[in-house]
Order: sequence, then structure tokens, then C-alpha cells
Amino acid sequence: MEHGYFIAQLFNALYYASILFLISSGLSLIYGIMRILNLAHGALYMLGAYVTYTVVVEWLGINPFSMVLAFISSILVVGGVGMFIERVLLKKLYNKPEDLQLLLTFALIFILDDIVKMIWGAQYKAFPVIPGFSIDVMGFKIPVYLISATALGLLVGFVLHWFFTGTTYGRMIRAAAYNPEVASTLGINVDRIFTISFGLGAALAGLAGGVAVPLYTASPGMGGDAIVYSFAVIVIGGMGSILGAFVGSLIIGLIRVLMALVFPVFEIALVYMVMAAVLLFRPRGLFGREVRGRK
Amino acid sequence: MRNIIDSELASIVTLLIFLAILPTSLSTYGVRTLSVGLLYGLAAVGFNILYGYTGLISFGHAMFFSAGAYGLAIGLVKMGLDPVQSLLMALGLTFIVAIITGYLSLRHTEIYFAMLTLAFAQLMYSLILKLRDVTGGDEGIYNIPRLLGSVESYYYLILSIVSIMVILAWWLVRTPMGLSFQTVRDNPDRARALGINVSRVRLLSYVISAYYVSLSGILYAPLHRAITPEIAYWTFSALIVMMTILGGSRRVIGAFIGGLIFIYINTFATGFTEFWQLIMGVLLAAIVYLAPNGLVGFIEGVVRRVR
Amino acid sequence: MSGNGVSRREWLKYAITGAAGLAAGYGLGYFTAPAEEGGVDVQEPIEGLPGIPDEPLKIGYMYFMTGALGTYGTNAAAAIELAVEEINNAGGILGRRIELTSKDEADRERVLDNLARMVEEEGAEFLVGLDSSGDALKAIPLIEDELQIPLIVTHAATPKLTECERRRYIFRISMYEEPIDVMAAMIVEEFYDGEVTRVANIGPDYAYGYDSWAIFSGKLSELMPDLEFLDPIYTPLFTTDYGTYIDQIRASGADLLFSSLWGGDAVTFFKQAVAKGLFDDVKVYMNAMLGATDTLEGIGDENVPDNVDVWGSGRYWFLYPPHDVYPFNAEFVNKFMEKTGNYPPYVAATSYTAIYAIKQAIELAYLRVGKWPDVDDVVEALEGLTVPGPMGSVYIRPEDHQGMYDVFWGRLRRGAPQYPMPILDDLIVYPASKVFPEPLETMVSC
Repeated sequence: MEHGYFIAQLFNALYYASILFLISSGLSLIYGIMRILNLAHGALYMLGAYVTYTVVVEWLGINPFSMVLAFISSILVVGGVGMFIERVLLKKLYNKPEDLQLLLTFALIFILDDIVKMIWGAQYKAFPVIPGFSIDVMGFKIPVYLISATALGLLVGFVLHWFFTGTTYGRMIRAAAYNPEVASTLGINVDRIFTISFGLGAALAGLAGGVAVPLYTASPGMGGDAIVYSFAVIVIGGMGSILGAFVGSLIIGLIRVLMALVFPVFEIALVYMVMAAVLLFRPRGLFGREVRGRK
Repeated sequence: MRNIIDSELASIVTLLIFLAILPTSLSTYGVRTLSVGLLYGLAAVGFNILYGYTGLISFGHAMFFSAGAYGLAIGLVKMGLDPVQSLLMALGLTFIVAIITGYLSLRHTEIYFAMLTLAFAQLMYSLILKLRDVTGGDEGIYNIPRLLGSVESYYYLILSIVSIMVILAWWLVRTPMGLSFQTVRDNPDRARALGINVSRVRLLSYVISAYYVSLSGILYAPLHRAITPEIAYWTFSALIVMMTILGGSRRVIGAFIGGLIFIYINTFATGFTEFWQLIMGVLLAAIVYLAPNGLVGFIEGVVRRVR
Repeated sequence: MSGNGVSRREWLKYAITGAAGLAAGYGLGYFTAPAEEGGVDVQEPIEGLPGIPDEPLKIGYMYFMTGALGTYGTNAAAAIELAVEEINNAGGILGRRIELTSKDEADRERVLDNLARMVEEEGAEFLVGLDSSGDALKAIPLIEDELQIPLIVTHAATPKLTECERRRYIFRISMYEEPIDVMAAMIVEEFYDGEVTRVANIGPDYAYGYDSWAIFSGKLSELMPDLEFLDPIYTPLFTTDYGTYIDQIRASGADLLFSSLWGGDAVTFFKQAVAKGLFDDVKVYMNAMLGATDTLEGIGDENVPDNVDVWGSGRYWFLYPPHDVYPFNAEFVNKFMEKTGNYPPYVAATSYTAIYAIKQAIELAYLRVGKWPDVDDVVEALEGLTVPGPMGSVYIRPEDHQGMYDVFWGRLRRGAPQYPMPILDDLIVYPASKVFPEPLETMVSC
């Protein structure tokens, strides 16, 4: 395989992995802090995609400034929606059986899907080609956008890691996650932390959507695939671990790209087979902590 | 205790009698719809054995429905087997799917379990799509023969089988095995202390549940005489979950009614709006908050308060 | 209460009960009545033709009316309403006016039930429709064995519908994939013999994609056996990232790329291909569904490349037959634009023609039997019928119930300033007899 082609493929894989990482880290974060599996996470990703699409394609036109503004909008809007969901809908279910929370996030998938349809219509929304910005690598054009998106994914990973290990607020959140009762006696506002955490997780999904939409078309129901692959990432990388989400996304990104080239028929099956193998031999994933909850 | 047992069985039997008489006042289309309702009811009852009685929520039950339907269809149409052989093939395929996915998924907590069932169901969907020489791929399998010619006679075949299975479920959950399901649901640690093998009980419940849903799929294939991969897609699993919760997961008859009326709610909703997903979602959310025990649970609550 | 008459309280009770009963009854009736859709203007039926029923003729149609594919349905519905309005305003079919009913094909689990409902509960005597080939195939047992009324398909394009077995009640007016893909191979031979060496394919990962390639590559390897055919690439429907595939095609050194991608996928792929410079290497790109107006709008003039020959086709192109030569098409396009504001896509043209085919067949059968014809009479009349449509005359071949009309391939050109989107121009048109296989023959495996 020529070098240029290989590098081009590598960037395709990295781009896809970045998006997957953003989604999965949000999902993992929400679970790690609040013990909630947010089934609507894919729908939040979709919402982020539509917001960015609107800001860039329908309002401001394509240029680096509008893209950045769009990403910020996606983060804020979807993060806001996330906080709303947590405060208004999920909080009431905390003292009730866990499956009710699951069912609610499940119901939210359908609600969000149709709300998106109502606002934006059911038509697919595709970006026009991002004009001109490609780097020529040994005969293969790599859109600069791919490189920047990958860099953004890396950056977010580092920021998240620094935030949760290096800052006071981050440590407070982890304390609240580890033991909410003790944390609240220490004066930590656990309620507010949960709201903010869910919002943060949602914001990550929203950002993922924004990053994805210039090359991936936005459509209602685009969250479906996203959520299944993030599940695979989390199983492989480990629930509750940012590093796990990072590594898992890389693995899945590479698998998908390699398979698409070599053996397209079983692209999807291989992901599941890897997942099944991890489940059999290392159930908590590569970097997962012991998954708590009723066993 | 005895009162509740008798009254639920009495309700089930009354409902079944009503369903036996109803077709006389329906058009052929009406009987078609009711047939689907019966099959959904059967699937919901099966799902509920795992959910309502054993406390595990699976988002992948569509894989059993499609194992049954595709198993039968492949046997009858693609391989030219006779009905009995095809039936055995469908049941065998269901067993394989149930055991493998059950074993891999049940070793984990409920959250992981939910996630895994969804993921595995999607894998099944992908396989059905890809193995198009066997499954017909996206075009599916058509021209499935119907054992009994007319829609009406096939309805009565379905009703007979569904009646047996629903009453069987009513009985099952009251046997020691059924009670062990519920103990595991309520308090796994206590169950272990009582000497119950929790993993085995869950797997058993999972497989029984799978067979119910698979049977529903087996009967579904000759009803429409054609099947396509949509019956394996995760949204169909979602519908099964919704029907059960709608009707009420505390009772066998609850799940059954949920499946039965769901088709009518769906038809009604799609008739006046294209945003019926929104309605379904809101309905499910409303039930989660206001009536977590579903329609039947709600009615029971009212009846109890009035008494 | 008291001995004389009814107290005010009791009146109130009666009044409320009565109002509630009325409301309940009205509500029940409203919600249970079958939906009637497609309001059309009607005149009084012609009196006096013997043996014609009084009540309206119900025709049912089913397309994707909502969801991502919803424009197919809304456009088909508009065209059908147009045809029905015209027919009813001219007195109906033998004096019987047409009433429409419809169901949404997007209701995936209930497709067959909904078809049955239109016939068994709403009294439809003819069915028109179906976007999805899978749905059309699924419907075969229902239509042929149970409902037994004519279904005229105007979109679903799989050869298997008509060429695997002779159907009795199922007809298809619209062009199916085989002639279009066969002609594509002929075009390659005519224009690029000696110029292209390696053929690649990218298509959607379902039956339509596989069948299209099977036909195209089958015919092309017959015509130009020295060509090298690369392994076909199939992508999941609604794929959003074609990056890896584009790189793969470039690395393979293909100079001719055939594609059966359609709709949003065709648009996404094309734009990404342009951005990644695929057309620096690929010299000829042929896409059978490029002639769809929504696809062309999606691509936009700014993305029409100059360094590659892009060929597109379709089942109807609104500029063919040319308006100055064939006023029927011009009028249809104008009427459709007036009604919807869009250029008519192919589903509109084929559905419009289907309604007229029904009318013509009934009238022909009436002449033969002297009364309102029954189903078998109409089926016989449809076989061998020639119906004028916006795409030209459509001949319904009796052996396989498949409509035949001219097939075209054209070049992608910028549409400005006349048109707000790119267009197909410099059309090459072959008569149907040149590209249609023999009846009940197909290169696709049944």
C-alpha cells in the first residue's frame, strides 16, 4: 500500500474515532458520575449536528469563524438541553427503580427524533463542500478539516483529563460520584453537580455532532448507529473511563476503516466480535473500573 | 392471594372468549389487524416474563422475533422444507441466539445487560441484511405459504396458540420457578442466600422469554406471507418494550393487553400525525411518571382505592 | 325531586349527558371513519351510459409520504391529484368520478395491512404506488392471491417484480433498472472504446445496488471483454462519509466509475469525490439516478466538475421529450410546477400516467363488454395498452406487464441561468426495443 494512501486512510479513521470519542466520553462520563445509561445520547449527538448545520449553512456561511461559533452553539444548546433533561425529567426518578430511568432516556430518543423532524423537516441536511482546503499528501488530498477535527478530539481528551484530575471542581465531581451522601455532608451541592455533569456529557455529544456534520449528513435517526457504536466503545474501553473511551474509539475507528478496505462484508460483524471477546475475557473493558450497580 | 389468582385467570379467559367472538363483526382487514394484535400480545407476554417478573430490561427482543420468523421462512421458502422441519429450524435458531446472547449479556449488571442486548440485536439485524443469499437481504423473503388459506381461519389458529401460551404464562409465574424469577427480581442477594442460582434463573427466564417472542415471529411470517429485515431492527425491540409497559408489567394480562391494543394506538396515531414517534415517546414517559405499572396496574389501583 | 316536572338540576344532568353522548358519538365516528384524502373538484357524472355504477371509483395509492423519502410521496400524490382533477372535470371515467384514498409507505410495519385496508375497508378497486422494491415484492402474494385487484407500480424498480414470473394483477408503468443499466454499457462502448480500461463500481449496499452492477457489468463485459472489472464497492444506505471508498477507488486506478447511488447518498458522494479530487483520475462517471431533480439540486452548479465526463439517467427527465416537439410533456411540466412549485420528478410522471392508464383500460374494456368491466376485463385491456405520458408513449407489454418507453442518458451540465440547478443535456436516447431484454428474461437472479 502506498504511503500516501495509507496516511489518507489513517486520517479517515482518526476523524471517525474523534467523533466516536466525543460521543462515548460523554456517555461514559454520565454513567461514571450518575450511574445513568443515557440511551438518548445518540439523539443528543444528532441535535448537535443540526445546530451546527443551521448556524453554518443556513445562517453564517462557511468560514472558520462560523464553524467555531457553530461548535460553541452546539455545545451550549445541547448542553442546555441535557441540563434541562436532568433537572426536569431525570431527577424525579432517582429514588425509583433504575429501569425507569432507562425507560425515560429511551423515550427521549423518540421524542428528540421527532422534535428534530418538526423543526428541521425530515430531509437530509448535507454541507456543501468545504471549499478548497486540502493538504496534498503524496498524491492524496486530505481535507484540512479532518486534521483539525482530529486535533480537536485530542484537545478535548486532554482537557477532560486535566479537568477531572487537576482542578478542584473536577475533583468535587468525582467525589460526588464516588459517594453522594458523604459529598453532600461536606457541603458539595450534589444536585447541581449532577445537573452540570449531565449537561457536560450532553455537550460532548453535541460537539461530536457539530464536528461530524460537515462531512456526515444530518438526518433524523442518525443517532441510532452512533449509540450502538458508542456502546461498543464503552464495552471495549471500559465504562466510566475517559482513557477507555479514547482507546476504544481508536480501536473501533481503525477496525471500521481496515474492514471497509479489506473485507467490507464483515465490517460490522468484526466490531461485535471484538466486543464479544472483551465481554468474555475482560468484562469490565480495558480500563474500566468495577461496574457498580445491582448485580 | 387466591382472589387475585382467580381474578386474573378469569380476566384472561374472558378476554380470550371475547377475542374469539370479535371477528364476526370485523372486516377482513379488521381480522388482519387483530391477528397482528394477538401476536404483539404474545410477544409482550414473553418479554414481560423477563422484564416484569425477572426484572431485566432487554432492548433486543426483536432478534428473537426475527429468529422465529426468518427460521420458518428460510425453511419453507428457501430450503423447501415441510412445515414441521421449518418449525424445528426456527426453534433451533432461536435457541442458539438466546443461549449465546444470554450467556454473554447476563453476566453483567442490568445497565450493561440493556446495552448488550441492544448491541446484539443490531448485530443480528446486520447479519440478516448481509447474508442475502440466505435471508434475501433487504428484499426479505416473500411468498411464504400460509398453512390455513383464509385470513379468518389463520386468525383462529393464532388465537388457539396464543391462548395456550398466555394461560401457560399465567401458570408459569406462579410455579416455584416463576416465584424464583420474582425473588431474583426483587432481591438478588436474598435469592442467593436462599440457595437460588441467580445466573441460571436469569438465563432460564431469558430463554423462555425468547421462545415466546420467537413463536410470535413464527406465526407472523405466514400471516403476511412476507418478511423483511425491519422486524429485526432495534425500533421493533422498542415497540415490544413500550407495549408491555403500556399494558402493565406487573401482570401477564397487562402485557397481553398492551400488545393487543398497541396496534390500534399505532394505527390511530399514524392516521392523524406523522409525528407518532413523539406521541409514543411522550406516552412512554407519561407512563414512567404517572403509571409505572401500566394500564392494568392503573386500573387495579383505582379499583383498590374504590373498594 | 318535586312532583311537578323535572327540576333544573335534572335538566342540567340530561343536558350534560346528551351533550356528552353527542360528543362521544361524534368523536367515535370521527376517529373510526376511514381517512379520506385527496380532495378533488368534481362535476356531475354523465347520465345515460348503461351498466355504470353510480358511486365513485375509488383508487388507492401508497408512497413514502413522510420521513426522509417523503418527497417521493408528496410529488406522486400531487401528480395523481392532477390527473384525477383533469379526469373528473371532463366527466370522470365513463361518467364515474374518481375518489382517492392513500396510505403512507413510511409506516413500515403496516405496509401490507394498509394495502389491504384500502381495498377491504375503503373499497379501492385499483391500487397505485410503491416506492420500495422490497415492499413491491412483499405485496405479491397479497395482491395476486388475496386482494386480486390491479396494482400499478410507478416507482419500485427491481426486475424481479415483473421478469421472474408472470403476474396477473401487478403492472408496472415506470422504467425499471435493467434497460437503463444495459444502455449505460452500450454508451460506454459507443463513446469510450479504447479510452477506458478499468471499471469500478460504488453503489448502495442493498439489492438495488447489487442488481444494477450485475446488469451493467454483465452487459459491458459482453460488449467490451477486454475491460478489467474491479471488485464492486457497496456502501451502507445513508452513509455519510465516503472518504475511505473514494481513496480506495483512486488507489485502484479505475478510469470509469459506475454508480447506482441515489438521492442524498449520490449527492454526498459526488461532493466528497469532487473535494477529494477523485475526478483527477476517474475520467468517466455514470450514475443511473443522477437525473432526479432533488439530486441535481443537492449537487448544485458549483460542484459540476469540468475535468470528467459525468453521465446521468433516470426514469423520466422533465426536459425530454423536448417541449417544442412534444407539447404533452410541456403542459404536464407547467401544470405540475403550478401545482407544486417544483419541476416534476419521475415518480410524478409515472404516477400521472398510471391514472390515465387505468382510465384508458376501463374505457377499452367497456367497449368490449358493454358494461362496467370487471377486474379480469381491465387486466386484459391493460395488456398491450399504449398510454400517452409525459415521458412519451408507454407500451404495456402483455407478456410481463412492464411499461416500455425510450431510455436516455445525458451529460451533467450547469443549469444557470435558465435553471436553478444542474441539468442533463446532450441526451442520447435509445428506443425501448433496443435496450429492453426479452420478456421474463433478466440478468438478475430471481
